[in-house]
Amino acid sequence: MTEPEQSGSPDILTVSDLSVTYRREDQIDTALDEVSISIPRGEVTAIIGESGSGKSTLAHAIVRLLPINGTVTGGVIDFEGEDVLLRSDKAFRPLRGRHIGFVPQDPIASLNPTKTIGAQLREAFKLAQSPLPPAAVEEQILQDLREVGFDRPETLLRRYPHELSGGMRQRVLVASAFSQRPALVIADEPTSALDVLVGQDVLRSIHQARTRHHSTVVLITHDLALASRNADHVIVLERGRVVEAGCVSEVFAQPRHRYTRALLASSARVVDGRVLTIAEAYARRAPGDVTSGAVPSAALDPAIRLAGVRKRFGTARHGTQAVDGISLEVPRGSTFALVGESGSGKTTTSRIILGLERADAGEVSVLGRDVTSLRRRDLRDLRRRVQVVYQSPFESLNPRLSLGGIIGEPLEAFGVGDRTARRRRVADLLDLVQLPAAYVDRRPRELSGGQRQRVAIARALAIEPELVVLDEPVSALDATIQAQVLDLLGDIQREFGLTYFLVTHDLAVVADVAQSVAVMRHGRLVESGGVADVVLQPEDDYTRALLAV
Amino acid sequence: MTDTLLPPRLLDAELPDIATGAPLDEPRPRPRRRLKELHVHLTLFAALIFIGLFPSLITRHDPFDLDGRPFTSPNGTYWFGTDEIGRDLFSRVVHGLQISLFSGALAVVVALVLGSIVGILSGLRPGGWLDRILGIGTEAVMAVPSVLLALAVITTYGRGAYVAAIAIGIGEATGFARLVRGVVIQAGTFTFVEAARTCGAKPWRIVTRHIVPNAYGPVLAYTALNFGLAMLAIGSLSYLGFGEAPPSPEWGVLISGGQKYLAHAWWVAIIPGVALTAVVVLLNRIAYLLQEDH
Repeated sequence: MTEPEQSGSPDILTVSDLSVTYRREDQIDTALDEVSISIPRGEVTAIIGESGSGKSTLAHAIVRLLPINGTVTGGVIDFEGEDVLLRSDKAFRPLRGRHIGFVPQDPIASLNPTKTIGAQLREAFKLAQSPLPPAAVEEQILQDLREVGFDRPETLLRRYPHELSGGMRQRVLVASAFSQRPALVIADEPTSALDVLVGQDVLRSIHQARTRHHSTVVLITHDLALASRNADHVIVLERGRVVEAGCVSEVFAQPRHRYTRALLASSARVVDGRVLTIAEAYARRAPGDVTSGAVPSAALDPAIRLAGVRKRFGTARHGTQAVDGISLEVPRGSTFALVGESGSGKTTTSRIILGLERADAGEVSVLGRDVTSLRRRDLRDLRRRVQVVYQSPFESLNPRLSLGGIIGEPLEAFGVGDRTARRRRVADLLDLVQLPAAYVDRRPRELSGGQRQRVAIARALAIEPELVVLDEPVSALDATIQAQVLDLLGDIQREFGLTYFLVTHDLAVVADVAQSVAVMRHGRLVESGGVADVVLQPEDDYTRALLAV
Repeated sequence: MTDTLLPPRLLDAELPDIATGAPLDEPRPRPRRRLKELHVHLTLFAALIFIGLFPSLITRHDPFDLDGRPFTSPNGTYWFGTDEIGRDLFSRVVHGLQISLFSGALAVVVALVLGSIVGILSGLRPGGWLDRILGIGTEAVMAVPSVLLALAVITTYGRGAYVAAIAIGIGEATGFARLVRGVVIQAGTFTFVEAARTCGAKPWRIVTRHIVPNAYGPVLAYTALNFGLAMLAIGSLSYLGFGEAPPSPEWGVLISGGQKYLAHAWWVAIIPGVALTAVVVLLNRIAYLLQEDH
C-alpha cells in the first residue's frame, strides 16, 4: 500500500469511462455511462444536473460510498496518479478522510446522535490514523471550528448533534471533512437541506477552509446560481452522461449542449454567465409581464383576512410562539406570497387558514367566513371552496390509489355528480394539467415528481375552489420542472380567476408569480406590500438578506 | 465495491439521486426470492386448510375406530402407527389438524377484529378521552395472564377448543389494539391523509381508503404470528386438560395422552408434537416473510 504522492499534474483527479450500475428488482439501471471528467487542482469544480442525472452517484463512486446495490462496472478513477479503483476496500479506507474529504447532503443523518461533537471530530483523526499527539489534535479541532465560524468552540465540543441547528451541524461536518487537510474535498449538495441564508454561511466556511488549506473542492449541486457563484469549472451531467464541461463563465455564457441551455433557461437567475440578484431578475422582465395576473379587485371583500392572529405550541413556559400577531389581507383573484425560512411560522399560518389548526387569538376570515368559530360541518363546507397543494408530491398522494381515484377524491367526498360525470371530470382535469388521459389508471409511483405535482394540482381544482393554498408547491422539484409547474399554475389562475395563497422560502419564485408578498420571521411579519416594492426597495434588513442570496 | 464497514448512517443518508423519487412509505416491491418463498409457504398453508376442511379425503381409517393393534409402529397401513388402544394415529392427527387450525383461526379472528376496533378508535384521537379509557381497559386485560383469562372463561362456559379460542383471542386482542393504534397514529401523519381531510373526506372514508391500505402490512404479519401462538396456546390448554377432552383428536390431547408411552411407543406423543411445531413454524415463517422491511 503506497500513499499517493503529490505530483505536478494539473488535474488532481481524472475519471475515465466510469460506469456505475444499480441492481434493481427486475433490471439493472445504468446510473453512469462511461463518464470522463477531470478536476483541476486547487479550484472549485461544480457538477450539476437534475435528479437522476447521476451527479451524486459520481461523487459516491469516487469516495467509494455507493449504496449496497451499486457497482462500478468499468473505468478508471485516477487520484494523484493512482487508479484508486484497484485498491481493495481496506486499502482505500485510509485514503478517504485523509486525502479525500466528504461533506454529505443531510447533516442530520450524518452525525451520530449518541456521541458528542468533540468525540466525533476526534474520531476523524483516529480513523485517518493521524500521527498528531492528542493535545495537538485538540488544538487543531478548536482551530478548525473557529475557521468554520464557531465563536466559542470549547463549549461546542461537549454538545450533542440534536442541540445544534442544521446549519451548525453542516459546518461541523465541513470542519470534519477538512480536518485531515485532504487534497480533495467532495461536497454533495451541502446546502440543499438548509435555509438559504444558513446555506450561504456553510458555503462561506467551505471557501475559507479551502483557501486556507489549498484544497481542491468538488461541489455537487442542482442549483445553477450556486454553481455559478461558487465554482470555477462546471461539469453538466444528464442521465449518466457528461454533456458539457468547462469554465463556469464560458459554459453559462455560451452553452453548447441543448440540455445546458434548457437548464439555464429554467433559471431566470443566471443570464449571460452572470448571476442576477432576485431584484435584477425581476426588473429585467418585460414591464407588461410584471403586472400580469388578474388585477386585484378592491371592490370585493378580501379572500383572506387575518387580524392579530396568534398561535402557540406547547405550554406557556416551554413552547414556541409560532405565529405572533399577524395581520394581512389577500385580495380576491390575486397571488399572495408568504415568505420565510423554516421555523418562521409560515406553514402554521397556512394551516390556520385551512382550518387544520386553530388560532389562539385573532380573527381569521376566509372567503368571508370566520374560520375560528366554524363548526366541523361548516368547516367542511368551506373546504369545497378552499383547497391545498402540498410541498412534496411524493407524500401528498396516496400510493395505493390510481390517479383517477386521487383526482376524483374530492368529487366523491362531496358527492359531486354520478360515476360517469365524475369520470368525465377527472379526464378533463388530467387534460387541464397536461397529463395524458391514459394516465387515469396509473399509480403515483409510475410518475415523475413534476407529473405527481400536476396530479396534486388537478385534485385541488376538482371541486372548483375559489382559493388554493400552495405550500411550497415547487421546492421539491427540479428547476426545469419548477418553471413548467409555475407556468401551469399561472395559466389556471388566469382561466378560473383563482386566488392563490403561496407559502415559500424562495423569493425568486415570489417574484415570478405573486402580486403581493409578506416576509415572515420568528412568527411576525417584517415587511409586506406589493412585489415590486418589496423586491426592488426592501425596507427590512432581513428581506434584504434574503434578496441578496 | 461498496465499503460496508462504514458507519451505516453515511450509507443510509446518501442515496443516489436516482433513488430519491421514492419516499419510505411507498410499498416497496419485495425481492423476488422472498416472494417465491412466501408463495410456497402460502400454498402449503392453503393445502393444510383444505385438509383441515376435508380430513377424511386423505385418511383411510376412522379416527375413533379401534381397528388396529395397540402400539403398532408406523408402517404402510398405519402411516403414523397406532395409539394405546389401536386407533390410527395418522387419521387422528389429520382430524386434529381441523380442530387446531380452526380454533386457532377463531382466536386470531377474535383478536384481530376486537383489537382493530379498539386500536382504530383510540388511534384516531391519540390522547383523547376515548383513547385513555380504551388504554386503561387494554392494560387491565394485559395485566391478567392470557392463560388465566382462558381458564376463567372455560370454568364459566365449559370446556372445548372453541371456547378456549375465544378466551385466547380476547387476551391476544390487546397486542393487536396496541399495534393498530400505533399504525393508525403513524398513518395519520401521512401528508396524503391530511390531503384527504382537506378534500372533504369523512373520517370513515379516510380510514378505509387511506389508512388501512397503507397500514395493514404490519398487522397482517402480526396476525400470522399470532395464529401460530394461538394454536400453541390452545394446544397447551388441552394438554393441561382444560381445552378439548379425550377422545377428541386435538393435538394437545394427543400429546398429553401419548407422553406416558414415550419410552416404548415414541410416535404417539412425538408425531402430534412435531405436527404442531411444524404448523407454528410455518406460520412464523409466513409472518416473517410478510414483513415489508428487513
